[in-house]
Amino acid sequence: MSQIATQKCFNHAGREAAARCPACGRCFCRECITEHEGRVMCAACLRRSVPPRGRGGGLQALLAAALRCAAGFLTAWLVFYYVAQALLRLPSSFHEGALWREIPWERP
Amino acid sequence: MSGAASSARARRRPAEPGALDVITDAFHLLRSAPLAVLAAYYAGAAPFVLAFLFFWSDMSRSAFAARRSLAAALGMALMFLWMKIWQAVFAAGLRDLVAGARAAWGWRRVARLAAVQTALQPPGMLVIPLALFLMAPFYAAHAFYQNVTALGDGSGGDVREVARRALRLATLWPRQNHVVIWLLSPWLLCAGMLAAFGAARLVVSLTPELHHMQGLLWFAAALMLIFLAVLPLAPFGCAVAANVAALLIVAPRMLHALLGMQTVFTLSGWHAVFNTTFLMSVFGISYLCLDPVMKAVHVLRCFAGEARRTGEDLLVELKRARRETERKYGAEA
Repeated sequence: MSQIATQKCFNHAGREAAARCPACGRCFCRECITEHEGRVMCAACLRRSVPPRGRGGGLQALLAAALRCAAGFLTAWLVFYYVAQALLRLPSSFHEGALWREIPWERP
Repeated sequence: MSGAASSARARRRPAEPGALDVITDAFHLLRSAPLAVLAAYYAGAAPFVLAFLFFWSDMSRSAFAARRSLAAALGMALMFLWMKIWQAVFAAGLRDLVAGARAAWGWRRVARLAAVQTALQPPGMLVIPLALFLMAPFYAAHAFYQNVTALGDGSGGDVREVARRALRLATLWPRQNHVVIWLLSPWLLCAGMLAAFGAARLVVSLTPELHHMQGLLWFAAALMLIFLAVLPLAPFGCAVAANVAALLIVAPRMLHALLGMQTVFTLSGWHAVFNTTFLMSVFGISYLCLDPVMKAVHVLRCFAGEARRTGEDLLVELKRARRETERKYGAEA
């Protein structure tokens, strides 16, 4: 609090700072700082935090999201498929615990 | 000089919250959570664990398992995503409790949640075991996927945004994170159980006397071996697993003794216990006990980590203070 009293606005060198932006840590005057969803922020950080609308094309974003989901789903499918293959390759004696009762040098 | 500089740096650095404190807060959060929030967790995790046990048992025993392995893996992938989506719903419920505000649910939010979890969670099944094998980045990899559950509730940000926030918070407070993993992570319990399963085989091979100790003595020796091997890896998880195993062993015998009911366990004797399906059952039930606490811990870590920049914790405190003041003066008026 004592630090902010001695600071000047980052945009206006002649004005006293009123608040510090929690995102960038810079001090700003009353005009440059704004409140958004219960938080004080500077205009630049607010612009960065709000997702842009109507840019890049909705269809392209939808397609990218669908591709990411498909890749994720295929990864999960492959992982479980290889787990199944590993389980199939293990001998039954391993699953039944009988492997422990066999002593290697006594095996015929 | 260097000592003075390091002590000055230590003074400047904000204190890292203790791991036991955050675990205690997580237990308190779970106790104060409404039944609907806990039900959301088990609506996802319980069917997955049951399906996984069936998958494990089928793939390890059935003569025709190879024919249906592709379809079974597809089913498991769907169940995995189902679990992850419900876990994110559960984490969102806990976050609402912490923030003291309820975020509205809509189809758009549900679709965003499902998209984020489907895109980000499956690679975790490869990355986390690999990181556990390499040891060094395990804490960050583990925290990243827990953070994706905690942050990817569809309330804000797309896949990239959630991944960026989860990654930033994954390396936060590493000492706390390591202790939390050591105490609560089911992954360490799983690694310990698998290592002990292999180690028991090795010890029985090297000491043929164990081979000749049939029955209960042989079983008790091997069980003690597993317990001792897993204990340093996951002490709390091991205590939970030991309780679950004891319950699974004792309950069928109690049923038989008191009600005369015969089950697979009583008919098979100790053979029902010494197989991998029993081990996976113990692990699955232990996972259902430990994982909600782990999720609650990461909800609290994410909230505290983001609040350092947003000041949301102060807003929650102010809101709470205002409510208490209104209640007090309202009662006096």
